[in-house]
Amino acid sequence: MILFQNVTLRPRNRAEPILLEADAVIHPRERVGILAPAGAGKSSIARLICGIERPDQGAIHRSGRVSWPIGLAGPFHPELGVTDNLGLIAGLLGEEADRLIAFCHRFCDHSLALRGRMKDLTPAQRARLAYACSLAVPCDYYIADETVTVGEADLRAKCDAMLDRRLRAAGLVFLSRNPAQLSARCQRFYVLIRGKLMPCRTPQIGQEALRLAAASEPPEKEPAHAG
Amino acid sequence: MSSALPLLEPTYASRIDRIATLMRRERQSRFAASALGYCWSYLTPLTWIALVVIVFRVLDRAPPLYVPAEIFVATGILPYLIFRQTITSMSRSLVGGRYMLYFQPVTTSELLLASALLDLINMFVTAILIFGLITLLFEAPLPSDPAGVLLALALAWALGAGFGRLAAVLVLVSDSFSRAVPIILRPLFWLSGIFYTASELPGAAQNLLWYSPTFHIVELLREGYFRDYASPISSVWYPLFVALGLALISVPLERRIMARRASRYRL
Repeated sequence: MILFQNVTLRPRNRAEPILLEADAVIHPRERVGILAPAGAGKSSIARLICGIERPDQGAIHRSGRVSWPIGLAGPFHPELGVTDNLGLIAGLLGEEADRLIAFCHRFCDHSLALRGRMKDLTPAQRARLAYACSLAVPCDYYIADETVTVGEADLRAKCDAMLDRRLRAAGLVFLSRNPAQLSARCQRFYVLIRGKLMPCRTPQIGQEALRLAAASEPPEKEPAHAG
Repeated sequence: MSSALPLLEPTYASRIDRIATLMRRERQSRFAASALGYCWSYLTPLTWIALVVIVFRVLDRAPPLYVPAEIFVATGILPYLIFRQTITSMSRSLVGGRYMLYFQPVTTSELLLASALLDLINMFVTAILIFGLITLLFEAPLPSDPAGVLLALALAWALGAGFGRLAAVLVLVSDSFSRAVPIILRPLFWLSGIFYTASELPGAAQNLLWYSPTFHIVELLREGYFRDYASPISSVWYPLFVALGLALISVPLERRIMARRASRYRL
């Protein structure tokens, strides 16, 4: 379970807090979508759930392993070899390097120059490898920060199939500004309005709530409950 | 089809495994862009020692102790370089490894520790290599008190790790600081007794240089290495306290920077 208890996240470079005494719960194997407009702090919330950022107030309780954001390529060191990079990630997670490398290699249709350096990969190859790597490791919850698939149509189908397999035994927290993407992936939804995570029946209703909230000044209206 | 891919089972790495992996990352990436790779960490001290020995020869300066110039210079430069190298690599470790924090439960302390431990190992290898080479080539004496030599080298590393921890934290918030580190430390090259011993100095200079922690370390090392040398300023405690003090200051600073999310580096 991932539990947000009275969580406030107030970066100093922002006028408004990203989260203000927000509460939410994500149960095991649940697919939860969080609708938030661009610039509302999705990545900060993702880091909060991943456990690398601490809330200013409140607490986030997590049980089980939470993934890093799906498709995150930041951990790859450009000067190191592809296999070296995967070996290091495997080492940090207690995974066997050979198995992680084999998994990623197969997911990339054996198209990777395994002996090359990371910086020699094309951006598309890198994105695909990062995607494979994040799903290679079994987690209890996967976190998606806008990216839930990568590549063109046929690769997307493969990504979807892999993610679906993972989600048979795991939960998903999908942060996105796109209601259609959220509906396609998730069962339950929140919308981020004025620092609160408001439950909403569909992301389209959440979108409407966001629109109304932007139009009306007083935050007490809470139109999400209308849904 | 992707459904044929076997799924991996969840596993966890112990703290020791994580630190070992972070050390491996540090070792692989430190000189990754260079063809000579890790040889640089041994070539740098060798080159420095050779250069200073050449300066000694050109200026016709005899070492103040009755030992070959090579070993006199090496006993001065090696602790200084260990100190500097530990600072340099630790001050980069939090920036270079910040994405590793996504692999929970990796922590910033583990990043710093991995970087420092790699330099500790480096220190042993470099010391054995350089002292061994000079002994073989120039008929220099072997250390008369190996334990004292080890203690001095370990202090050089500890002082570097203490300062390095503080530098690693401050580099996160200040570009000016990260540029200033080499400038702040440059005078220590002249104030560490690389070219002279404390006994040679007049009393006033001795009293002033007493405040240079690296001077104590070099003097300790020479006391351990050369049977006949007894230094007027070779405190174990002073550099140790400085090292601990710097490391301790860095802990609340780090906490404050993390809590305020003041790092210049985005994740």
